[in-house]
Amino acid sequence: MKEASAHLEHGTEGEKARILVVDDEPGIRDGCRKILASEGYAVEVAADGLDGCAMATRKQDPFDLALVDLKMPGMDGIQVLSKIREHDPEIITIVITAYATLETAIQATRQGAYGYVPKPFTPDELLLLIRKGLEKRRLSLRTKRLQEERERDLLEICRERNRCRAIINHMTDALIVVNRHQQFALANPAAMAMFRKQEMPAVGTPLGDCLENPRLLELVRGVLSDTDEFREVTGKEITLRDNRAAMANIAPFLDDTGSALGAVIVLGDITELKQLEKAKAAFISMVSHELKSPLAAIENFAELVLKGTFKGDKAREALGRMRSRAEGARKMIDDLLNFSALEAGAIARNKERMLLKDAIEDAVATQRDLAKERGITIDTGQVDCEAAMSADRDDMVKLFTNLISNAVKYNKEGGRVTVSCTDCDGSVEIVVNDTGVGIPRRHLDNVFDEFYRIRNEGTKRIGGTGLGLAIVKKIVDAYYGEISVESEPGKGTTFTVLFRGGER
Amino acid sequence: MTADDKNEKKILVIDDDMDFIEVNKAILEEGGYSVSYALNGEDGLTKALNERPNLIVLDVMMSTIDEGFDIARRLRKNPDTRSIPLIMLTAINQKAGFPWKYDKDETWLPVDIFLEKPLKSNELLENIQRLL
Repeated sequence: MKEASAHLEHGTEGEKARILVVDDEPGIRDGCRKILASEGYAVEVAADGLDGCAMATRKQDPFDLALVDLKMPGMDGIQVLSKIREHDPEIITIVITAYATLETAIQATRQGAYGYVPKPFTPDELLLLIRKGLEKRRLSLRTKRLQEERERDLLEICRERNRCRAIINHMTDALIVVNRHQQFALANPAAMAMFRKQEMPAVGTPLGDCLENPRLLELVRGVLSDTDEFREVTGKEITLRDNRAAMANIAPFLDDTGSALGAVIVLGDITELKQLEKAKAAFISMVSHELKSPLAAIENFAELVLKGTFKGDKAREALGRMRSRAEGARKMIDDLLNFSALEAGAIARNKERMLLKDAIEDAVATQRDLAKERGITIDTGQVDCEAAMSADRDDMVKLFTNLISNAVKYNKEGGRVTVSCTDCDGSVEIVVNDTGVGIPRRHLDNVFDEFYRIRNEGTKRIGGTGLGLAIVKKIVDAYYGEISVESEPGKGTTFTVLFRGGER
Repeated sequence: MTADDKNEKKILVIDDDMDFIEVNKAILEEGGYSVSYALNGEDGLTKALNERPNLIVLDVMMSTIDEGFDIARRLRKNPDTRSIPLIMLTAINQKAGFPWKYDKDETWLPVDIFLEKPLKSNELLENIQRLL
């Protein structure tokens, strides 16, 4: 039993080694079965080649070893061997040969048989050969398993590498890797696009030959410079071609001893951000100019009144102008606050189903005095009293106030402002029309820009912040609406706002 | 300089802000100059050619953000107006973040003096006297 347990490990995966005996002679079959079974092997027998092949090529319980008689009626041993090996190249095959025809035994060995036993044979001869054969199978199976494992590992590494590749290639930031000699090692498509390269530079090309950007090269040099301390570069701005800008982050990668092997360069395109920054700076400049102008005018008027240059009626007139400029500056601050809140989207909207006529009434009320003073009629007869939408009442009052206030301010003495509002299948259309000075065609595209004011003889005395229509546009945008303007200089202007149903 | 001499000196003020025109007109007239004005650049150019003022006071931000720069260059380009002294007067803070510089320059900003609003009346007059 001791030996039998030793044999166990010869089999596949710790099972009993499974042996097939194919021989047309019943004596040999039974003899082999007894000998092998007594040694603890699982033995099955076949009486001819066809049966033997069928058993050896079955899917379940594969054999570790096959003993095959060479000379059999029907399918002979050589054919059986080749079929069996075709099915499992790792199977150990041993030839039993009756006449000890060495020639055929050698032929069989050449075809891959592990060995042969000439009849008659002793049990020991047979068992020795079988043990050696099974040992070989065990080794070759283990080798095969190891090889498969290695291949699986390689595949895994390949997959991992592909994954890294895919990640790097899909980065929106540009990535460039250089070695310690500032030679090109790797770049992703975003980097190629950033530096307008059609082809990937050859590995080892000096970075300076790959991209013409002295500032970046200098930064990389700095990171890789031969100092004790490698410093990374973060958030450095570099200028690209076509007025584009990038933010550079460069990190050295160090070996165990702390010396730099190379550097990883990551560049984010910040062109848009820079433009935003510039627009913001320009906005602040405009604000400072627009706020400084009325204050400068007030200072000048005050000085001239104090000095006595403006006296009597002239002084009173100057005081009037001062008050009006101060009021303008104050309104501008209000508008600026409104505008910046709208701009930041910081307004918490209390949307509710509301009748637009209510907002229109509120707006008209704020303009009534000025309209009366200038003899201007505000006609709201065309306002559909049922027209409603879901909106913040403050927004709608602001929208109508700005449009109606412009229509009154830029109107002729005794002119007319017509406000209409119609609700058609849930889409609300608001029209504010005036009989005023009109807007020259070349200005029409810009009227919604902040601080865009048309200054001519017709408007020179009209105060305004240049933010009213910008605020109107912001409100319309916030409700996904559309606004358009038509105008004829000298005749009047029409603003049309459309809020489509379902979009608000 | 006698009052009579001054009366011969004509100054053109180009500014889109009627209040500044009024204020500067009062200051300059008190200083003994005769004053005409224009509310936009194009009018200013026409008046400069027709009236041949002895000096022009020019605003920057009018119908466009830097209209005054353009007007200054056009005045300098025309042989008829080239030699008229130019004072640029603006409420723009020179440190503001506009994407241009305010350095006086033959081609970029061909003015004689660049001043910021508000200006005390004597400052304006002193600067004008320096140029005339």
